[in-house]
Formats: sequence, C-alpha cells, structure tokens
Amino acid sequence: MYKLVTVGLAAGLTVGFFAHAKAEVTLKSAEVMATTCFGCHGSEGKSANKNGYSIAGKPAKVLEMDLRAYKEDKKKGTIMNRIVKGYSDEEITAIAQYISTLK
Amino acid sequence: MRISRRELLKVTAVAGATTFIGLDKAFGMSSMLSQEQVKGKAHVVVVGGGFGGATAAKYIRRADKDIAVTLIEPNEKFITCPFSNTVIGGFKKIEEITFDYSVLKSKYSVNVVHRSVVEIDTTGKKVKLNDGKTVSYDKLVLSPGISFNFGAIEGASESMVNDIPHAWRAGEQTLVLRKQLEAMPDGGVFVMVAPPNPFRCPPGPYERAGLVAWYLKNDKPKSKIIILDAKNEFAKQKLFMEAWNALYPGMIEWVQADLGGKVVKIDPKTKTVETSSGEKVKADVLNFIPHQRAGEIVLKSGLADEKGWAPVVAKTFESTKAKDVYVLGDSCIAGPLPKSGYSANSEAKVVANAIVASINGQKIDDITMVNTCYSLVSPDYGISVAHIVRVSDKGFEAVSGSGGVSPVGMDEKFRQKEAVYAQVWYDNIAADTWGKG
Repeated sequence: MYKLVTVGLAAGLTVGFFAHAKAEVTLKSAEVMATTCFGCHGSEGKSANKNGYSIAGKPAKVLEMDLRAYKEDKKKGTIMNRIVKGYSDEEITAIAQYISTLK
Repeated sequence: MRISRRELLKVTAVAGATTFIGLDKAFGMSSMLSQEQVKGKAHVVVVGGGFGGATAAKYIRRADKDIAVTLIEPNEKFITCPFSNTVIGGFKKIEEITFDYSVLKSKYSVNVVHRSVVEIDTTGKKVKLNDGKTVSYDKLVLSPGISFNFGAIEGASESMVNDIPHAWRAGEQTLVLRKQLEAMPDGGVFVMVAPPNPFRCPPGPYERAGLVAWYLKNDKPKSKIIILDAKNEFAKQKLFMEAWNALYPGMIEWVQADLGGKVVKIDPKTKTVETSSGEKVKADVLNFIPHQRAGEIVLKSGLADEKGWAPVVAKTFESTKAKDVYVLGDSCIAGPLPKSGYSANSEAKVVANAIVASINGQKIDDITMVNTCYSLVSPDYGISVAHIVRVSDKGFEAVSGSGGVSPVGMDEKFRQKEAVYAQVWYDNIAADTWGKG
C-alpha cells in the first residue's frame, strides 16, 4: 500500500483529498494517521484479539459514517468519541479512505 | 479531488513493478554492517528495541525496502512495562509480556544487533558499540527509554534495587517485587514512593497500587498500601480514587507532596523513608520509583536540555541539537504527549515517515497524532485516557475539545468493557510493534 504513495509523490503527482477545499490532507499523511490507529485496532488494521474491532478493508463510507457518528456523539463508544473529536472532517475522510484499502 | 478505489489500485500496480529492488540480500549476511556493506540508498540505525525503536525500524522498512535498517538493542527479549503491573498483581505471567525480534528480522529484514551503544559521533555519523565496533549511519533514531536519577534522594542508590526494586523497567525487578509481595505477611505495609513529573507512564504508579491492592484484598486483607507522592495530583486521579473507594475501601492511602508525601531520604537497610516534614515511614515491601530523565546515551551525547530530556522538532522528532538524529519515546519532550508505549509507537510512525521523506527528498506533512492508554484497577475494571496532538511547524498542539479520561460515575459494565479493551490494546500494540513473538 505504501508504494503507491512513494511513487505518487516521486512522480510529482498531487495526490490529495479535498473535502471542502479547506485543509488538504495528503495521501501520505492520511496513511501515517491511519497507522496510528493500529495500536488498538491491530497491525494493518486487523485485530490480534477477538474482542477488538478490525478496521482493515471496511468500506470507506461505513468507516467515515461511524467516525462522524462518534465525533457528533450520535454513537456512544468508550473511548472513540474522545479520540475522533481531535480530527477534522477532512482527516476523517482521508483516514477512512486509506483504511478501506488495507487488505 | 478524490482518488477512486480503481485509481488507487492502478497506482499500486505501477509501484509494485518499480520498487521491488529490495535490500533483502544485503541483510542475509552477518549482523554487523558498516555503511559500505549496506547496498541500499541509505542506512538508518535505530537504538532501542522498545515500543518506539522497534516500531520505527518496522515502519521505515514497511515504507521503503531500499533503506537498510539496523536495530541495536542489548536484550534478545523485550519485556514490556505496560501490563507488567498485572504480573506484580499476580494474574499474568511474565512470559505473556515478553517479545522477541524474530518477526522484525524475518518479515521486515531489519538487521538486529544485540549490543549497546556507548558513544555517538554526530559529526562523523557513526555509533560505537560496547564490543568496540562502529556502525555508520545516514540517519540515527534514538529510543532508549529512561534512565534513573538515584542521586535526587539522599541514601538512594542503584545498588539497592535487588532489595528495593523500582520495577520501572520491566524484567527481573518485576519478579522480585512480586516475590516480596508474596512473602509479605498479612497486615504488612506496602509503601510506594512515586516520582515527580515528568516520568514514564504517568498513571503507572496508581495502576500498580490498585493491582497490588487487588492481590492483597484477596490474599492478605489486613495489609495496607501507602503511596508517598512527590506530586500534589496525578493522572486519572478522580477515576483511580473512585475505583479504590469502590473496590478496596480503606486499603490505599495516598499522601500528596504538600501534605507529607514528599520523600527526601531513604534508609535501604531498614526500608524506611523520611519525608520533608521529618516523618519516618517503615515498609515491609518498599517500591521506590526514582526520579527520571532521558536514556543514558541521550544524556551522554549532549542531546538533552538542562532538565534531562531531549528537545525535538515536533513534525519530525529530529533533535534540535544534532542533525540527522531523531529522538523519540520517553527520552524526548513531545509536548502534551505523555511518556507512554502508545506515544512512542505513534511517534515512531511520524519519525519513520519523516526519515523516509527526507531520504527521498519529499515534503513532510503535518500530522495529527494519538496516544491511548488504559489502566487496570482490577482484572475487570479498566479506565482510559486519550491525547490527540497536532504536529506542525507551530510545534505540538493538543486539539482542543478532544481526548481526556473516561467519565467518572460510570457503571460496572462500562469499566468491565474498558478492562477488555485494555487487553485488546495490549495485544494489538504489541503485535504492531514486534509482530507475534
């Protein structure tokens, strides 16, 4: 997965997610941010513990909807509400997009 | 513009064809590599194989297989501080918190060298090992954890740790402390001396107190726990106190610094500590957690400030004192991010990205980072904290309105759920750091 980022940037392509043309979240920063979810959700998004929630390969729309629901407290978790409030909508979209590509 | 899934796949396919000129052959050889022997486009040396160092090594290789990575860690097995309080509490075995480097070696072709670094030459860009050999680097990552400042308290010294274990680096001392608790008579007093800020794992002493209480309540219910604290408040305080009152009423006494908690002197022979108000407290089991600072090699190499911690550039964790040297984990000053395993693991990913970008001449983006920490108060009672921190050219900034601790006043079910998630956290972060060991 990372390779696409390396090549994309090496080729000088502008790969970015623009949600409202406000804050650009590059593909690369989306990947780094998504990998910081692995501490709880498992390496490459696959939980090593059956009680955990594997996020790898879930549809981006589903992930994004879930994350936004936590952010707006429409869905109650234990810790996710507190965490997602730290991310912009643009970041949520980009992170969800990246996680959906994990196999 | 949004990248569609199909476009993503297309780019991946192209990438697959062009970047598989791996370095794996170079890694099949002997474990001691000089820069000349490394055929990749760059050689990164990582010092320390804990949550920070092991993760950095893995994620650099994950990102770019043309970058050679050597990980220097003295121990062949790593015993984690997170969850070591479950061993002290007696409901987990030390084997359950022990990992090795086999996955880093086999799956990520990290060159793992079990030595310690005794000297860093930041001008000549090489490190000297304890066997006299030197290893050259293009980029150096330092994640050596903490060191202890025994000199801060009169009477304290490193030589007392077999009798008075701090167990603030997990391993032999974790087991010593456990054995001492097992040998303590019912009605005994467990005294913990808690360190001043900043230190590794801010909620750690209080988690330990709770899990020791859990053991004592079941096995030695007449016993007592006294925490003498160099601070007037501590991490997750309301939550810990709520839990202690519910689970172990009357068993844990916490004494804050200004009300007689500040320890100034210790007599290791009699296991007696003296506070700033002149009061003497004698322990049956004494857990003295020393004042802390950055790892030895960071101090020795002049990479720390006058308080003993390493200042770094937020976006990259590059030392402000030496070029091409990156300090992460407990040793560095990472703004609002606490000194935790999760912080180190997150920081390692930011560092890996920064190093790979720098080697490849790419731009380094702003990142939002996360720390998540669970503490257990009993095997079935968990509490958590989260920090979300933005790293940019402006430095480290906590994102307002985010993060924080579990709510107080929640029911048993909520606490139970967080205890389950604590184990999920542990299994997943360990797998993310070392693979399945």
